[in-house]
Amino acid sequence: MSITTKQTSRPTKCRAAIELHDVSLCYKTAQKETLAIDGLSLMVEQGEPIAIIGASGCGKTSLLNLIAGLRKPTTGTVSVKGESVVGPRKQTSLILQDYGLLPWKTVLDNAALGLSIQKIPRKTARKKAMEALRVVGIEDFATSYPRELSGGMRQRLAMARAMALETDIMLMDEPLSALDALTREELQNVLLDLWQSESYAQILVTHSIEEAVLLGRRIVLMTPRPGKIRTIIDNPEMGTREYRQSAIFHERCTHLRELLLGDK
Amino acid sequence: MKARLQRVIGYLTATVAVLLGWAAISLIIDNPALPLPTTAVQQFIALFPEMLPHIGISFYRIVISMVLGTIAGTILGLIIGRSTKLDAVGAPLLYVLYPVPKIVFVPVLMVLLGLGNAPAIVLISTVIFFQTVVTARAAAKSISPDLVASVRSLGASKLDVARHVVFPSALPSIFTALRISAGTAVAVLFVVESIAGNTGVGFYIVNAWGRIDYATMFAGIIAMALMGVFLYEVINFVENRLVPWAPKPE
Repeated sequence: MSITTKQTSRPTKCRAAIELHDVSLCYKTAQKETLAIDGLSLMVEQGEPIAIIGASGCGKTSLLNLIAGLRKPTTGTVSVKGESVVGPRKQTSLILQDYGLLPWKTVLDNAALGLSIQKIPRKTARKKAMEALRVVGIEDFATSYPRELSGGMRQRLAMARAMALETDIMLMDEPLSALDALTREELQNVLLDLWQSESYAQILVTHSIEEAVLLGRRIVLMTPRPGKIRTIIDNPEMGTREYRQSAIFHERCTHLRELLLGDK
Repeated sequence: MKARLQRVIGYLTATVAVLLGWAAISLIIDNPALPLPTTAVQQFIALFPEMLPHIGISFYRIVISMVLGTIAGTILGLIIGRSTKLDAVGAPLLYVLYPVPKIVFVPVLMVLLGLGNAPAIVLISTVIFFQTVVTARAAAKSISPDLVASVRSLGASKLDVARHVVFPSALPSIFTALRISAGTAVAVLFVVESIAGNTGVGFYIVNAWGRIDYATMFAGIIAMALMGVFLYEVINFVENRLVPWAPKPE
């Protein structure tokens, strides 16, 4: 697949898509200091999908912000594609829970937002954005505004915005948590398909055990405050929609549930 | 199209209701100070050519002031709303100055700026400025940090964030402020014109009053009311063009 072609066309030093080395992050406010992440190390390979699961306030969102270049670590190093992260990077996409869609822009302009910020000519940007809307299946709504879309369609739009940028690192913070059960399952399949066809490295932060097992080749369990990696579960069988029905899937969900319950 | 028709019908009904109420009160109190609407409207039509230069100058003052006040207030409000440091200085300053009635400075402005357009423009823009700056600051503060983070993650600079997020998200509030300030602007305009100078609809009204010519005075009042309605409609029109994405208030 395209994963292999990407690897051969790039120098081998870039095997790791994301590398966090002994990272800690401390928030300072006027009142107090909070240690959000403490001594975390993690390596994500090219095209590898990772799921992160853990209680609220375990620094998962902070972790994504660090990788996206929105925050700097207090200690340790964060690098993406072999380069130290100093700020937001063109091909890293961050999708937050509320999707970050701009209500004042049409669906098409929202999809083209990243491109227009990067000063890509309007015509090219719109063409690429339209193509991305087609990939996620909402091209018929190009002239609508986000408020006219359903939750699932907004999620698709957020994906399209990332697709238009030819993303190679996809960071998602509980992207499906606001959706109803059926839409959520449908969108999980969309995420799976997109990851398969675009082969970006992916970090998905989620509260859902099933979602983590369906979409993470490795599942990272984090401890609450300060955020540390508690354990990593290998889940090499993932990658198809049918996995959801398999015995291994259920076994792994149960295992994960037990681990999480042990926390309490 | 249907909405527009409804709007026109609404305006007509409201106008008829106001005229009927006016006529009723006029008949009841039976005092020359409140002539019948028919008399006032006839006078308005008869004197319209004479009033036109006054209407023109009043309109010029009000539009310039609203544009200046709104632009300055929006820019400053958005900046202090987005910067914690500037807000620490700006917000207290704003809240000390905001409740001060600016109209009391008319005598001072007359002494400093004379009787022409300047005192009116300075005063009205200041009033509008304070209304807008308070609104814009609140709007900038209420922007979701997640939205800003999402856009920043796409590589947006501060200027990009201002252009794509801060400014458009504040626009609906700015238009609400503008609509409210249209009424205030006309009121302040009247006061300034009635005190300073010998031009404008405000002067025209007070001058007629001085001559105890109530019909002419009411012709001027109609002109001023129409100015207010016209301004309001212009603001609505511009808002529909610039903010097509927001759910309509009416």
